[in-house]
Amino acid sequence: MEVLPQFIVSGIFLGAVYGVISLGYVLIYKATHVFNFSQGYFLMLGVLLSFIFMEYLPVLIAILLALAVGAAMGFIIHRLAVRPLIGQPLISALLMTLGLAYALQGLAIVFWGTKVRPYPHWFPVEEFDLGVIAISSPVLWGIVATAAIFVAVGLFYQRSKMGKGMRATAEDHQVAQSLGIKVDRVFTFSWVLAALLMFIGALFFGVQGGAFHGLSEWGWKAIPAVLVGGLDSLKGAIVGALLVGTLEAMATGYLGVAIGNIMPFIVLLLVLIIKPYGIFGEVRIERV
Amino acid sequence: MSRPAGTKDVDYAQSMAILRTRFEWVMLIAFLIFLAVVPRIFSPETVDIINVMAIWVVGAHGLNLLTGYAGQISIGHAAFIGVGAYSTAVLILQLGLNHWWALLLAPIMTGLVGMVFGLPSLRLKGFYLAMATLAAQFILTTAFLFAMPGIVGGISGLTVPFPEIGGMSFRVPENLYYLLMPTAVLMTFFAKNIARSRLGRAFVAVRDNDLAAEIMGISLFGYKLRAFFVGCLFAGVAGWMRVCYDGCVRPDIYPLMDSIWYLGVIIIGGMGSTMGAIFGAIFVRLLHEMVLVASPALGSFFPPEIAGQLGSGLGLVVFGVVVALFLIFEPRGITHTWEILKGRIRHWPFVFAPG
Repeated sequence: MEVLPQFIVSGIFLGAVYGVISLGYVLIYKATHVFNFSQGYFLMLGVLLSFIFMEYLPVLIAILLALAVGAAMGFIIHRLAVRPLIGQPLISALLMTLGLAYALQGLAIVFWGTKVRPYPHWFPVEEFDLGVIAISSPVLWGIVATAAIFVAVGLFYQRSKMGKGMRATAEDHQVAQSLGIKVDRVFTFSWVLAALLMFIGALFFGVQGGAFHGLSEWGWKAIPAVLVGGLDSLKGAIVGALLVGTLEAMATGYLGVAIGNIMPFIVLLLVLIIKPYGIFGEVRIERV
Repeated sequence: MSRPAGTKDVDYAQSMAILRTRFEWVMLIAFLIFLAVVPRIFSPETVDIINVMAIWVVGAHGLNLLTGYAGQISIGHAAFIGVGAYSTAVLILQLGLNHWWALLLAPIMTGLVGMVFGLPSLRLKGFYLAMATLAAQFILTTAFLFAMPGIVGGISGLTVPFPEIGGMSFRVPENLYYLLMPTAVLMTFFAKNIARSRLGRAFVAVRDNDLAAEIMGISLFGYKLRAFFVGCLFAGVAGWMRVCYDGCVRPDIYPLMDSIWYLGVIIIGGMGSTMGAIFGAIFVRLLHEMVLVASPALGSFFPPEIAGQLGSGLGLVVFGVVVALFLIFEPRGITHTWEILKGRIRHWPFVFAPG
């Protein structure tokens, strides 16, 4: 049974990755009611871009530059692609973000290719042996960074003026608008914040997975995580992510990679049938 | 459906017909004759491209009925086509049936699988239901890969013989064309008729306002399940056509990307219109071919280590950009442009805004 703690640790790391991506999904969905399928592709681009920047620039400048690019990307995508679709049916926004996702993937393939390269170790990498389990520092850093991101975003959401505006907007667009909140600005800000978070996460998760175009796969697997937790709950994002991550790691360990890979989606199907709005999601009473 | 002034339906039969004027009949017959002689006119390579278009038209009809008419978004259409293909292969190889029995049975099996994944529509709608079909895409393609490798062939898939009629093999594109194109024409006819009959009208009612539909006596759950069944029935036929075209089934040729392409097809063509599925499929396949032709030419502008992967990457970028442009500038698709164009020609030299 000594492998079990190891599975749990790798599960928590996966959960951390899914958690950060889920946070992006939730931020955008809460404010704009658009589900951004390209979230995982932001993360992938974050890894690749910061890799390229780190190759040519000092680490600190490279990181700042990557974050700036991330924020700019969120801004541009929202302004150019998503905002024109206000008022269109659900499927339009859905397909727009799907199309964006594949366009980003295509750009990555054109300019990066399909090779896997080890991500630069910009923080010390070592192995901690804790007797029962061994934790490598990228895993630890990833988990700590995720915790920090969640605390920061949570505080921002609770305390800051913009955060309060975002919560009001999530409640009702028209009411928020009539109270003087610039809903449009909240939308843009949510996109910028979500993209920025992906780029921050990328700095920590790249070390573990290596830099390649297939990292976007994480984005798809985070979808079950966010739905388990509830699509409009920050708390749900991390709980669902940890749950799905751990389950996936255990299934991979005990039942093989095949089951492990689709485990999130089996969970997703079960959740959709049993409790569609997730554990912490707001239940909208609606006869279908 | 604006027609020239003075052209009116004189009886109910004409009012209910698909083609109501003599001119429409002439155009249809001319088009069918053109379709019949396509392999005589074009090179085998072109016919091969048209064969793929025929498959995509049938698949797009299925998704159009499910998503365009009934409003149930499916992000798992390629996997359902895969189910059709795998059913065909298993029926032919493991049960020893011929292709024609498979054409009858495989779509029904696909429809039933589709209904299973449509079950969440009992409680879900919109985005959440789309997620259930996304789960279907991942679960089904993994099932092709790992479930019962003795029967469905595991990672290497199955090799299926090409269909034959009286010694004529449908192996070469010119012959295969005469199998695929009539199927596509027939399925287009079915799709059009489903869309304008009781079933299709119920779908539209469910899509436009589900509460109002239920109050009018349309069983929501029943019709959503029927939408899934019908949509996947078409997917099953498309899967059967894929088997005839590929001569094999493999777990990796029904990817998520194709599901999203299919959504792109009905958006580009125009949702909720039979013509839209056809326009969309033709447009998207042409786009695909153009990228294939253009990428080696563009490759000379890029460094050699990038040129090799340019094709696959560029295809994705072009798809994303085209879908985005359509969503922003022409959300009603090519069909809408086509209607405007027809109106312009009809009213020329006057400028009327057609209805």
